[in-house]
Formats: sequence, C-alpha cells, structure tokens
Amino acid sequence: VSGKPAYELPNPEPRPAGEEDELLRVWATPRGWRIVTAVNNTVVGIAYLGIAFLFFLMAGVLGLLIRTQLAVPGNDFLSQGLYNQVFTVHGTTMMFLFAVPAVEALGVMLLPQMLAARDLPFPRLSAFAIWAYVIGGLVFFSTIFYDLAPDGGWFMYTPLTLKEFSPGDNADFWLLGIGFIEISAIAGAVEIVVGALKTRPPGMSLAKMPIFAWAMLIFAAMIIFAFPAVILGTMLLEIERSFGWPFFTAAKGGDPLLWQHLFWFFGHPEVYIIFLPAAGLVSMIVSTMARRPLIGHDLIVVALIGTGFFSFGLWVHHMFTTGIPSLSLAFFSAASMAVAIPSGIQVFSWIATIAASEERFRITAPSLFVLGFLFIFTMGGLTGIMVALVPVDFQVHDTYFVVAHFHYVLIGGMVFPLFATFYYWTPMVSRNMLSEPIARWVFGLMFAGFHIAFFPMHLTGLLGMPRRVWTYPGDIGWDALNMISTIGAYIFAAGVLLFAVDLVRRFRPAFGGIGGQSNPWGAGTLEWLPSDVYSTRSIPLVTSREPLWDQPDLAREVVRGHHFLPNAPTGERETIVTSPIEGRPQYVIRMPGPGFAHVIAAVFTAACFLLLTIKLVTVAVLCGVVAVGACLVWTWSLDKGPDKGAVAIGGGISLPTYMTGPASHAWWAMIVLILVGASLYLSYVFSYLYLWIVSPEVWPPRGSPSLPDPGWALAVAVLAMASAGATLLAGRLLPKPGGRSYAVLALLALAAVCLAGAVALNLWSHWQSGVRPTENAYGAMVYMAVVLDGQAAAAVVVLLAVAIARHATGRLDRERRVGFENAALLCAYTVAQMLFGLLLVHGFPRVVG
Amino acid sequence: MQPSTPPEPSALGTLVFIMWGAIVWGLQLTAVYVGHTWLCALRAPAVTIDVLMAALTALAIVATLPILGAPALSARLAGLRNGDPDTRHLTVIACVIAALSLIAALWTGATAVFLQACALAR
Repeated sequence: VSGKPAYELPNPEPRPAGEEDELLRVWATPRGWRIVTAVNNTVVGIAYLGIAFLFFLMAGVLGLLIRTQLAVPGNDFLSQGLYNQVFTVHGTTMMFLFAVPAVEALGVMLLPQMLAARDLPFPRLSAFAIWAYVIGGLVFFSTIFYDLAPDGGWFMYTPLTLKEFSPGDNADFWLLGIGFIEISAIAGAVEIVVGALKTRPPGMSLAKMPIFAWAMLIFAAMIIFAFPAVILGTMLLEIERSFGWPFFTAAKGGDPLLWQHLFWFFGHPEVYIIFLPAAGLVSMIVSTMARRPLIGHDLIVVALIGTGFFSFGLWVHHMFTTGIPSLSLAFFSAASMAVAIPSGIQVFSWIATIAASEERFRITAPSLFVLGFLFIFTMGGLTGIMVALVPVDFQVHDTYFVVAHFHYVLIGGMVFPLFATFYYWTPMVSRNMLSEPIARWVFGLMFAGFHIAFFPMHLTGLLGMPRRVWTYPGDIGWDALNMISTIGAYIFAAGVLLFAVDLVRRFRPAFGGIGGQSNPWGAGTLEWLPSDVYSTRSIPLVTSREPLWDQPDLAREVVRGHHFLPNAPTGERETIVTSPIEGRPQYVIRMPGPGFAHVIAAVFTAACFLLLTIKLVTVAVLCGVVAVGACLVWTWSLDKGPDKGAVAIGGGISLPTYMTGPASHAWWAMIVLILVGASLYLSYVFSYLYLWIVSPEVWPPRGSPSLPDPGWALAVAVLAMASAGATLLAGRLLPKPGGRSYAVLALLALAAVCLAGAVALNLWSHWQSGVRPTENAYGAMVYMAVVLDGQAAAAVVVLLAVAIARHATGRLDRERRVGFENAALLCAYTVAQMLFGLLLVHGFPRVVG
Repeated sequence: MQPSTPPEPSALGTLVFIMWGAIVWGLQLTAVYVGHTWLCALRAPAVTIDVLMAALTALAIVATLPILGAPALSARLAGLRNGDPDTRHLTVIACVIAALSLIAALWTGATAVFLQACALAR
C-alpha cells in the first residue's frame, strides 16, 4: 500500500480501455523476414550488440592465431605475409568493428530506456548505421580468407601503405571499408547527442541525467571531433594511392608523418571513446550493487568531461620517437600524465562508493567483472604513466611492453565492463538471466587468462622483443614468456567460449516485451521500469537522479498510465522532446516506423564503397545513385508538418506535434553534422599548414606557379555569398500553407546554381594558373580544398533540389519548413567554409611568400 | 512543469560555462603547439618562444580565474539561475573542471621553463 506521491500525477484518473492496445499496434515489431525493416531501439540495439560481439569473437580467433604462431621460436604455422594480414585485421576489427560499435549499440539500446523515451529521435538513422556496419564489416573481415586483407597494421602508417610499397588492393579495403564504417559511427553519434539532450523525460534536468547518459554524450561529442581527422586521413591516402596526389610523399613536398598526426589525433581519443562509456556503465553498476548513490557524482561528471577534453591533447605521445622538438615532447608528456588525474578521480569515486555500501557490496557476476576492471585498468593506467615519460617511451617504443600496456587498458577498460554489462542488463532484454554460477567460472578464466597472457608481455618487451614480428630466434630469452602468454590467451578464450555457450543456452530476446526479471538488482534508474515494445506505458515525471529509489510507487504509476503521454494521440509513433538543460516538455515528435528505404540506402552505399575498392567504378557509381535515391525517398517522408495540431500529454500540458527552428531535434542534428564538417575542414587546415611548415619550398612563388589573380577569389566569394543570400531570401518569402511562390522556386534554384558555380570557378582558377594536383604537395592541398568544398556543396545542392520539389508539391511553406531550414543551415556553413578556404588557399601564400 | 515560467537557461551558455576551463586549456595547448612549431620553423630566437609560452600560460590563467573566483556571477552570465539546485551541481562541475584545467595549463606551460624549445630530441 502506498501513500500519496510527493508530486502531482500528470494523469491521475484511470486510463480509458484500449489505450494500451493502440500503443501495441503502433509500436508492433515486424514479424518474420520483415524484421530487417525494424527500427525500434530494442531490436536494432540487440542486433547491433550481437554483431559487435560476433566481431569480437572473430577478431579473438585471429588473436589466438597470432599467439599460436608466437608460442615457440622459429614457428611457421602462419606465413609472414598472412601473419601481417592477421594482426592488421585483428587490431582493425577490435577497434573499428567491435569496440566503437559495441558502445554505440549500448547507447542505442540503453539510452532510450534510461531516459524513458519511446525511442531515440532518429530511429531510421540508427537502423541505417547498423546495416551499413554489418555489410561493410563482414566484407572487410572476409578479405582475410582470400588474401586481400590489409597488412600495414591497424594504424596503416605511410609510406608503407603508399602504392609503391603496398601495390595490391589490400590497403584500399582498409581505407574505403573503414572510412565507410566511420560514417556509420558518426550517424550513431548524431543520434546519441540529440537523444541525450532532447529526449529526456520531463523533469530530468542535465544535473539529474544518469551517469551513463553523460558518458554517452561525451563519447558522441568525441566521435564528432575525433573521427573527421581519420576520415580526412583516409581520404588523402586513398586519393594519393588512386590518383597520385602526393600528400605523404616526401620527394614531392609531402610528409609521411602527416598521416601519423591525423591518425593519432583520432587514435588517442579513440581509446577514451571506448573507455568513457564503459566507465559510465561501471558507475551505474557500482551504485546499484552498493545500494547507494555514487559518491562524488559531480566529480565523476568532471572526470568524464576532463578526460574527454584532455584526450585530444595527447596524440603526439604516439610519435615521441619520430624526431619532434624537445618542447613538444615535454608538453605532450606533461599532458599525458595530467590525464591520469580525471581517470584517478573516477577510480577513487568507485572505490569510495563500494566502501560506503549500504550493508555489504553485493558480489554478483557484474560486480566481479567491475572489480576485475578496476584492478586491470589501474595496472594499465600505471604503465600508461610510464610510457608517457619520454625516456621510458624511447626505450619501450614498438616493443611488447606497449602491446601489454594497451591490452591492459583496452581489455581492462572496455571488455571487462562490457561483460559486466552483459550480465547486468541482460534481464532488461531477455526472458532469462545469464547463469550466475557459470559467470563465476567465466570471470575466473578470463581474469586469470588475461594476466597469464599479457603480464609476461611487459617482460618480453623489456627484454627487447619488438611488436609485429612474425617469429623470433630461440636463444634470446623470449621462449618461455611467449609460451606462457599463449597458454594465457587460450585460458582467456576458454572463458569467452563458456560465456558464449551460456548466452546461447539462456539468452532469449524479448524485444521490448519483457517477460523475465523486473529490476532484479534493485536499481534506481529508469531502464528498470516495466516496459513493452513501446518502452514504458507512460513517460515518467522525474524528480531525482535515482527515480526508482526516491519515487517508490513510480513503476506502478507508470504502468497505470498516470504519467505523461500514456497513449498515441496522433496514431503514430511518438515521444516527448524536452529542453536540453532543464528537461521541460517542448513538443511531441512523430517518429518513423519500419521501412525499406534505410536498408536499401545502407546496402547500396556499402556496395558503392566496396566496389570502388576493387575498381569496378561504373557499377559502384550505379550503386551510389541507387543509395542516393533511397536516401531521397527516406527524406521525402520526413518533415510531416503541423497538421496534427497540439496534443495533451497530461499535467495540463498541451504540446505541438511539430517544431521548427532551434527547438527542433532536426535543427540540432544538422548543427551536429555541421560540427563534423567543420572538424573535417579544420583537419584539412592543419594538414595544409603542417605541409607548409615541412616543405615551404614547394609553395608559391618559389616551388609552384603563381597564385591566380585575386579577382578569381573575389568572384568565387561573390557567387558563394549570393547562394547564401538567395537561400535566406527564399526562407523569408515562403508563402502561407497551401500557397506557391515562383520567386521561392527561382531563388532556391539560383542558390544551387551559384554554389555549384562557385566551386567550379574556384577549380578553374587554379587549373588555369598552371597548378596541378600531382605535381607536388602544394598542388594536392589546393585541389583538396576544392574537393572538400565540392562535397559540402553537392550535399547542399541535393537538399535545395529536395526543397524545390517539396515546395512545388505543396510540402514546403512558411510553417512546414524543417527540411528547408536544414538546407539553409548547411548552405550557410558551406559558404563560410568556402570563404575561409579562399583566405587560406588564395591569401596565406601571399602573406608568407 | 508549466513550460511558460521561468525561462529555460541557454543551452550553449550552459555548455560553455561547464566546459570553460577545458576550452581555455585546449586553446592554450593548440596555441602553444602551433606557435612553438611555427617559430621553430622560422628559426626564431629562443627567448621569443619562451615569452610566447609564458604569455599564453598567463592568458590561460587569467581566462580561467573568473569561473574559480566568481562562480555565481559566471553562472548568471551564462544564463543559469542562481540558487537553483541544478545550477549548484553545474557550478561545482564547472569549478572543478576549471581547477583541473588550470593545473593542466600550468603543467603544460612549465615545460617551457626547463627545456630548449627547438632542439630535436632524436
């Protein structure tokens, strides 16, 4: 028997019959083979996580092959060439196809549940991301079976990976395959940022947001700023390999170290991109098992933000031995040590929470993996401090000491928390929990196997064994340590195998229709509310960080529909959009249901990338056209307009079902995409200036033809600004609903023509001046600016064409204008990027020349 | 829960307020790294580089201090409401990040005092 709640229920009266059936109808999961069209976060999240785990198993098998080859000296179990492919695919798969997707999958699956949203705001985008990832990932991995796998290491250093030294298609599979998967990761990041900021339940302010949501927000922000650097790197390397633009060829003014800068500007944050969500998961589990709120909650948020920021200032510590100035060494060494502070804050906070548990800290399967994580990650952190010291790094660089260090950090910091997560959250998505007694064996085998495998590598490294060697002589003291490592790897694998067997035996997905345990751990967060395919029956009013602890009747109230939006008032899939800081209800978003457009778009985009790799250009272009067509079909069904009016959600609140401008989730998504574009462009600016510093002799006027006359740049700028102006004016002239305006159509067409003309004119200005992209690094950089402007402009032209078609068919007017606003935003950004590029490419050489 | 009162704090203002210290540190690191690399490439005198490092570090300290010295005022400038429990949490987060960033900026800047800037460490 419960008392009166300390807050007013939004919908205190009993709900009408049939309301829940309507929710079930609207949110029904497609049956049979049509499951591929599903977009629900539960279906997509479970499939996403399952595929990521499959990649973990496959890459793990490659790890075992590596250890088998190294078990004894002089072994010929694998040939040298195959060994190179195996360790490259092992590392690449673990980093790109397992770690990041697994974390994104957890975000897609857990975030809406933790935020009690019916789904994330762009469910089809998540579904697109998973299909793109599955197809691209499986094709990439399969290259190992027909000798086409990349063999330049997961970091693909130049000049080894230039055409001259890697002449086959192997490296291209890495560059195009991984480039494509990075796009999938960015799609996921957009979804997570907007989801965490805009689909929280009413009352859940930023300060009340669960730690995992904070971690995912920072994770996604890091992807937005880190991934573009490696996307640019892969673009530059593929362009050099395919067309001979010498970005990395020293003889023509390029620099192989530019690749390392771009790669590690992504690669080091990548470690924290993987670790921070895992830390968020650990925080949630520790709090539940200690039966109390986290000690130092705010400090953990500080640590997450601090770690995220600091991780961008450390990339040069991967390049300490490349011959950079001593001051650079010193402050990147300092920054690398400083990052230990926020990491340490988290560790101490977890220990304090465990120590201050109500009663005793519960030792369960998730707790065991959390404790294992604490021990292993702390050891990895300690060796991290060691390699942050320049003299130590000089000594152990490219030895097995580093292999030991990063496996302690990555397996400790990500794999153990992931297994804790599997055990902890399985009851949320499966009818059965996983076996607790088997879990103890799994943990024991994995924990012991891990240390037996990787601790000796510290010693083999200190004894001088280099990384990436396929075999070694038998009389230099490495034999026994390598054999021990191999035995440990097999013990670790036995633990993983036992887990997989238990998973197959007991995991029975219940896509949202939960039939198993309800809140078996007694947790305080919203993902443990009773739920079905539509998520929770009503969306709760949240008054604290642990609502299930502080609002004891919440589950019952939610199930009875006493909270917000207990129905489907528009007859479609909906959830509440709230304000980003205080979580105030703003409007009701109408979300798409199952469909084929995103599946077709993903399949043909993947086909386009992969066919390009094997140089089937015509078929690849055709696939690209189909993919763009599918995206247009997808886009056409968006921007539904305000025709449904306002709906009552409870508590006397009536919300609109359509929103434009900065309150709209679509506006936020476009801003996030623009940040991605800006990061890509900043990486380009860095590359341009870097190559100028390295090889000023190929810059004009000494090493290249003179710059085009300033009049060319001025004409390009005028055209670009005319495009922005025409778009702005078209927005102001949009007629009332039902009206048509030829002026708007003409202005939108003019904007597209001006923008395309600006790019073409810029291209011609350089061509007529005699600069050629294959001549030297300067020429390559000049034309790369045009490529980047061209791709942004192409996206704007497509969006403007869609806007023209929508206006012509009565789907764009003064009120129904979200799609147009996005086109206008991207147009404004593209023009700004072009103007900045003109200053850099046309202005900078004049200033320094 | 009524959407009409009082006004929602600015999203951008709040995010910048929370991350101000880290933003300053990031800018300092970028400026130090770019500036120092550039000056070394131009073969500028060592004293110029030392002065640049010191100036950028001093600038970073000055930029971070308002959050630490007057957090309530800074929060209000960012558009947050003083006295609100959520604002209190966000202010604690902003202050600790600013303090950490101050340490990082000093730690990074201190390297300039002890080392020859442009010597290649091969």
